[in-house]
Amino acid sequence: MKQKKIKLRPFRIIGYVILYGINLGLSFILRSYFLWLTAIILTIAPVLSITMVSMLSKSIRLSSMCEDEKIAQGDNCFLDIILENPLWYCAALECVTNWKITNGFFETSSEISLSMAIGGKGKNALRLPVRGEKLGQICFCCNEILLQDLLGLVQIRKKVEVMQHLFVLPKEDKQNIEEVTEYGAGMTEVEESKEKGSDFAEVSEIREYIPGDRIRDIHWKLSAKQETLMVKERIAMAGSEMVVLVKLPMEEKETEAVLKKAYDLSRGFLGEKIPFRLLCWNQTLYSFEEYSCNKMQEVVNAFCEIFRQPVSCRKSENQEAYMKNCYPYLSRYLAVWSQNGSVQLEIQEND
Amino acid sequence: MIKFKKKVKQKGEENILPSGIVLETEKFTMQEPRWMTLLLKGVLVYLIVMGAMGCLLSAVNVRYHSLVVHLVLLLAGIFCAFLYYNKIWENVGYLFLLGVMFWAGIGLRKYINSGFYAVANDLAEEASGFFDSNAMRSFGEQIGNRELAITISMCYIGCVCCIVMNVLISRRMQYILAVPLSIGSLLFPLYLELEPSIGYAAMLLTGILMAYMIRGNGHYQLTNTNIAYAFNKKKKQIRYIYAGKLLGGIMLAVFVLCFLLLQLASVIYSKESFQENRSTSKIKEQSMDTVENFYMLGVMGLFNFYPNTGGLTNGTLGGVSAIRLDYNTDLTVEFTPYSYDRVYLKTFTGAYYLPYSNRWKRLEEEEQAVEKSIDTAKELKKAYKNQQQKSAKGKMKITNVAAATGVYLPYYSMNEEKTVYPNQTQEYTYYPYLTDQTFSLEEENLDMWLEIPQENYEAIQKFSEEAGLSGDADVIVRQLAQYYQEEIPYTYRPGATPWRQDFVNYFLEKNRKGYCAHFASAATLIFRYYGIPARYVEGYAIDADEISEDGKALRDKRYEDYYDGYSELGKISVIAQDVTDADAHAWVEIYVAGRGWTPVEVTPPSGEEENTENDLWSMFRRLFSGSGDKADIDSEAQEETPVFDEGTREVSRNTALIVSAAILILIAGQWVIKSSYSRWKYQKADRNEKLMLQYQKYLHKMDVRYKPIESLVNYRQQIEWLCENDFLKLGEEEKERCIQILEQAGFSNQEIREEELLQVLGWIRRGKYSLKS
Repeated sequence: MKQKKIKLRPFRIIGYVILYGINLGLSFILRSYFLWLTAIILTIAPVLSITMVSMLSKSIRLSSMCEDEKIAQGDNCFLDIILENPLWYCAALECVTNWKITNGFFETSSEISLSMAIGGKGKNALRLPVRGEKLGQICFCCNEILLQDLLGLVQIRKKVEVMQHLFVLPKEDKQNIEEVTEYGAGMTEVEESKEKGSDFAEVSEIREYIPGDRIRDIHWKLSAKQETLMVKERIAMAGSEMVVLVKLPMEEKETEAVLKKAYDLSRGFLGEKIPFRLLCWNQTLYSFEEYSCNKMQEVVNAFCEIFRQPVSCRKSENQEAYMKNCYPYLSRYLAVWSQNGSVQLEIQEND
Repeated sequence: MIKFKKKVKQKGEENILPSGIVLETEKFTMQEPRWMTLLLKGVLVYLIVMGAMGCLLSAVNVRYHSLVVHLVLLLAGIFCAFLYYNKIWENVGYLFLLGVMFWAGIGLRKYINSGFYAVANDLAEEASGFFDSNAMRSFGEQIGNRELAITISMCYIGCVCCIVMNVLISRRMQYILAVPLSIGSLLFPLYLELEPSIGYAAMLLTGILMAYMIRGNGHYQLTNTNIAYAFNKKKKQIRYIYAGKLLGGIMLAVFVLCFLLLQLASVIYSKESFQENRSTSKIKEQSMDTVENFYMLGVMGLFNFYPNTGGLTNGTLGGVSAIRLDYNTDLTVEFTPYSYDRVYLKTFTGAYYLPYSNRWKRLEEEEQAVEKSIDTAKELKKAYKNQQQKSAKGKMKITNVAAATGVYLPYYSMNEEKTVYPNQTQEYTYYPYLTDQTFSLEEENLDMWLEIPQENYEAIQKFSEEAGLSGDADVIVRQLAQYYQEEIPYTYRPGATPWRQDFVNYFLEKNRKGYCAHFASAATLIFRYYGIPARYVEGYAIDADEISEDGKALRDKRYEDYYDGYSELGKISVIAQDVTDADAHAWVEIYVAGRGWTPVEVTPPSGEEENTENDLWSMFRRLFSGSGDKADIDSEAQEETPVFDEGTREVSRNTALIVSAAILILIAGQWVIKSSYSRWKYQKADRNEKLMLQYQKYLHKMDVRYKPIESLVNYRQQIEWLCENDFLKLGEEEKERCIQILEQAGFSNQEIREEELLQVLGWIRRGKYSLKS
């Protein structure tokens, strides 16, 4: 249903009309100069008040800012909501912004309204202290501002589009990191070879460098000969890297626990300087999303990407089968999943 | 034993939203100190209290040290507002305030009383002048230094008002109660056409508008912390609590605006011009007696003390502030009119006047024999039987429809024992006195009919001298009736006699207006003062013209059955006449030798303006009563009277003129300020900003006419669109150059060159012309 741009506030209007009527009635009976002057003021006041708010509604601006776009679960951050009024002669004592806060990952949402005052020619910022309790991508979205005139007689609706994203990532658990890192130690020959400084990964072809390719894949000798950077294209992930498969369940707490475990595992691997690839199923694409993680920023980005799709499209029963078909050269991988409420971490053979 | 535990905030009580976000409300920033808001609320209380008080005092033109009162009330307002700083302040502060007010009340009571009385006396003086009343209520001022006493008194009263107003305003912003409290005290001076000064009016209006505004926006509740925002879990709403600086700015703006508008209005249409054109409203005219009674007698002046309002009070006087007639039939009388004289039906005869008790007393049992003298009737009966000239005998049937039980005796009748009960009919026989003949009546002791109470003697003497009465009984009666008619107006709304005042003295010396009971009571004592035996009589009086207008001819009744003998009107039909409370009357009987007790009329006729249905009470009653004959009559009368008289039209015209002028001035003022500001901003700007300002202005004009440009977000798109639509006529190179300059001006720190600025401005100017064309 289309909402009206101007909403009258009947009780306030009735109250004002009563005040006005009493004054007018008394003025009519007593024929007093004072009451006549009062009637003039009471006539002009609402006209001014409504004109001001109407002008303000045309020029007011809303913006939002978050000091950290990514926070750890349980951490605080400030969301700044800024109202800006460029007109010095307009003000409002009640300026309501209606915000929809959605968690795109868990597909939950809530609404909240913020009431602020805005003076003439200036900004008013509300620092909203928030804490991320659930993992996911939180979106703060405001589509309208409700501006009330000073006398409170009308409310004007202004359409806006203000959006602010905030990623809530799992919090680091040092003890957990130590535990999960052991899974990585000596798991593949890749790890051992890395220690020695060589790479046994199977090379399928040599091609030109594309921005984003890993430095260590560059074929330095060939590059020197051809005077352009050449890289070694490896066969999938055939044993070249550690692969971590994150199997997300539907249940909220279990999902959080799995993600937390995966995050700690990732941190642990990177702490041990073990690069790895993170796989997560995407039902919409009907394939695995693949994230190469060599440094912490990449892990963070990978989790942010995971949070962009709702958890409902991350679940599939046939992930193992698809893994075999999709990555035939992959001999083993590390799977993180949940079973009977507890998070499981297991090296699985891909044959 | 019950143990009270401090409530610990559980985790579940946190403000967790379903999206997984927790609002950490305890971490809200402390943006603004709370005292700022409290200070403003204090100022608001001061504005309302001082505004109302200043309006009253300036209207009555009272002299006092205004600066002292302003300072004291400002401090009192702020102090009261700060009582809500926290719980301790509130509890201790109120106790302290109570102590101070009590101590000040005791210590300064003489000043406070005297100052208050001084203001009341000034107001009373104005009221007396307005009501053109000789009577005036005055209070004893104990302090010689009037100015000081008024200042102290107003400071004290103002402080009390601040305390009350603070409770209404600071805590709940209840403007609905604050308005009648502040305006209420002004109504009486306004009724008296006294006008307050514009400054105080602006203060009061600012206070009321601000209270209305703050209440309307809902941010008035106080907390004990400095947190700028609060989270309402139920409504899922975060609301700001304090906006002291903004409120302060708005308050100042409202005051300045009110003051300027009032000044503007007073320049366009001055108070003097308004007063010249002022006409008194009908409602005000009709309520003046009621208000005067209220002013003279207080609340009790508005009420009647006994139910009978038609003048029949069995001699009880003074308790009626106004006669209210219902025009319902009390009695129905069947008789045959025989002359043009009034027909009296006597029901009460007052012998002794009881001063200060304000009533007439009947004769005692043993004395009633004298009163029951029916000598004249006997003589007239004898004359009728002897068939003397101009003698006659009549029969009168009186039916009690809604009157009190009693004897309703026509003159010269001998049926004094015939009491008429409700819904009963009694028949009286009477012998009309139509001759000039006198009779030799039995000598009566008339001393008792000459008694004047000591308490009334001086007033009677003074009035008699003032009226210049002299001569024999007939002459004095005529002179008095004449004097009454010329000097003392008849009114249905004389006001009740004040408590502990004598009815006759108050009428003759102070009030000097009244209805039949006033005139008859005073006349009875005046006649006695001149040695004329007189007595006070109440009953019904039916005029001949009333009979001719309202009387119903009873065709089925025989004239002979009702009347026999001489009639001044000849043989006419039997008439049934409804007697209403409008016919209730009080008159005087004087004793005339050879004729006996003869009714005399001294009450002047009521003026045309008198209409008992026009007082406030009747209007109120009519409002809620169904439509009847009277309502129809009133509506007809209203049709004849224009609803808006010339004065009202004049005022309305001027109001419209001022409102239009104010709006025009505001629009023009806004335009002037806006353009001056833009010009100033342009002059201060560097070349990049200048270009941007001009370009934005041009785009704004385009925006108004062509919506598509709103969606174009960068300079390239905008310029391309403008070129495509022929608003800008630029070649490819020029277009690229224009975009480049604009991008540099918009995004780069490097300032564009002067010639670049002029070049783009030239293109824009050309674009403006094409827009116009």
